Amino acid sequence: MSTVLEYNKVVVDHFNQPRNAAGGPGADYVCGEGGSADNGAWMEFQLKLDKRRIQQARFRAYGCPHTIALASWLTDRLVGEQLLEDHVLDKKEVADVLGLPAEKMRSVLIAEDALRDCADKLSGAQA
Amino acid sequence: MATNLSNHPERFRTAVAGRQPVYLDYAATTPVDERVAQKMMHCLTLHGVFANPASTSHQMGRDAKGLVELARVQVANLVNARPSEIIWTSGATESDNLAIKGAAHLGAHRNRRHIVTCKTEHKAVLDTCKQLELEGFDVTYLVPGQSGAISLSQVQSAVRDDTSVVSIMHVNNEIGVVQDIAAIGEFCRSRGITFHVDAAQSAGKLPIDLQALSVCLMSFSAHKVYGPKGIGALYVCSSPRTLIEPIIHGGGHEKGMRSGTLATHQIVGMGEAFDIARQQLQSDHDHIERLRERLLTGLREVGGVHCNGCQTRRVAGILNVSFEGVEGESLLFALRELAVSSGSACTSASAEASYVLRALGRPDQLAQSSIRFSLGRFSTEPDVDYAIQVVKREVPRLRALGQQTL
Repeated sequence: MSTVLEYNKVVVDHFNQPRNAAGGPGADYVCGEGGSADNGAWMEFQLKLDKRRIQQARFRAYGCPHTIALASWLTDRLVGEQLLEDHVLDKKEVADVLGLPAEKMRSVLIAEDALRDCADKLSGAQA
Repeated sequence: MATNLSNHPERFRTAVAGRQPVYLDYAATTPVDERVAQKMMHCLTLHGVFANPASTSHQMGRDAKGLVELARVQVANLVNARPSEIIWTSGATESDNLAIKGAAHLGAHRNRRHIVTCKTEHKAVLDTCKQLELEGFDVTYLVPGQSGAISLSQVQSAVRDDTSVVSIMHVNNEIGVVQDIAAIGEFCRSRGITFHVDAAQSAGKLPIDLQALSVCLMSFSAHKVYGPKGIGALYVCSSPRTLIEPIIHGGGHEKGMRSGTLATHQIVGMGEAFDIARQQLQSDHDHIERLRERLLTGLREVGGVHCNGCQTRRVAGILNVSFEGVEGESLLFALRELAVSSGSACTSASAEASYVLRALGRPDQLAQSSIRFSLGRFSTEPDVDYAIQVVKREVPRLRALGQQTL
C-alpha cells in the first residue's frame, strides 16, 4: 500500500491553489475533455476563443496531483496560443516545469486529448 | 561525492506547516510503548543483560537466556499457547515464510503439493506462495465475498487429496475483516492439513486461544503491538505435533527450526509488549472502538463515504473508507497532515487500484480513493477531530475541482 509522494514546488503550488478552476460546466465556453475518471485521470478545458486564439482558459480535473497541477498550469500557459486541430504540447517543457516522472506523462496526453476535443467542438460549432 | 539534496523535489514532509502529522497508521506499525523501551534498554550495554543467551556456560549468558524464556512465556500467554510452542523469528514476514515453505516442503515428501490461500492475504503469504509455484507447487487463491470474508465452504471445495497447507489470515491488514479461523481450523484438522494463520493484525487486538483453536502454525509480529520492529514469532503446535522444515540453517537455535543468535533486547521487548497487550486487551479495544465510531461519524458528514469490508466481523482499529469523486493519490497528498495509508498506488501508468479492494468487487474509482485510517493505544480524540477537520476541508475541495456532469 505504498505510494511515493514526490511533487515539485510548481505542482504543490497549483495543487494547493489551483488557477482558473471552473467549478462546473462552462455553458458559454468551448469545452473539451480527455481521459476518464474510471481510468484514474480526467481533464476538461473550457476556453474563450477569439477565432482560434485562446483568450481565457478554465479547467476541471480528476486525478493525481500531477494531473490537477498540469491542468491548472496550462490554463495560464495556454492564453494567447492558437488552438490547433491536432494540438501538441511541448512535452519537454511540461516535464521540466512540473517535474513529471515518465509514468505520469500520460497526463500530458490527456491534456492534448482535451484540447483536441475543444478544437473538434469548435469546428463542429462553426460548421 | 555526496548527493546534493538542495535541488531535490519537495518530499512528503514530516512536519506540514509546523504541525506534526497526526499518526493514524497503527496497522502499518506502532510506536514502541515506553515501558517496553525501558526493558529493552536494559539488554544492550556493558552493565545490562547483553550476553549471548546461548552461552549457558556462564551466568551472564544464563541471565540472558532467562529473559528470553520469560518473554517466551509472555508471548505464549497472550494467545494461550505453551511457551515451548513459540519460535522467535525476525517478524511476521519471516514467520509466514517459515510456516508455509516449511510445511509445504515437508508435505512434498508425501507427494502433497497443493496449497490453499486467499487473494487478500498479506504479500508475505502471497509472494511466498508465488515462490512455491515456481518450485512446482500448485496454489489455489480463494476470492473473498464482498464482505472480505472467506467461507468455510470455499475452503472445503478448494481442498484436494494432495493439499498440504491452508493459509488464511486472522485479520486483514487493509480492511480489518476477521476470518473464521475456528471453523476453517476444525475442517483442516479433520483432513490432516496443516493450517497456518497470519495473526500479525489480530494479536493483542482480539482474544486468541490456541488451546481451543485448531491452528497448526500462527505468525506474530512485535511492532504491531507496541513492540520493536525486527522481531516476531511463529507458534508451532505441539499437540497434535506440527512439523516444518527450517529455511534458515546454522547453529540449531530454536530447536533447529530457526538458527541465529537470539536478539535478547528485541525478544524482551516483544515479551513485554505482549504482556502489556494481554493486560490491556479490553481497555485498548474499548478506547480504540470509541475513537473509531467518532471518526466514522465525522467522516460520513462529507457524504459519498463507503466503508470497505465487513462492518460486523472486524477489528476495532482499522477503518477503511472510499470517497466518491476523489482520486486516491490526490486524496493522500491533500491529507498529508495525516499519516494514513492509501489503497491506491498511482505511480504506474495504469493507476492500479488496491488488489484487496478490487478482490472485494469495488469499482476502480472507489478502490482508488480508499484511505485506511488505523487507530491505536495512543490515538486521542483531538487526533480524530483533527483528521475529520482536514477531510472535511479537502474532500469537498477536490470534488469541486473534478465535478463532472452526469
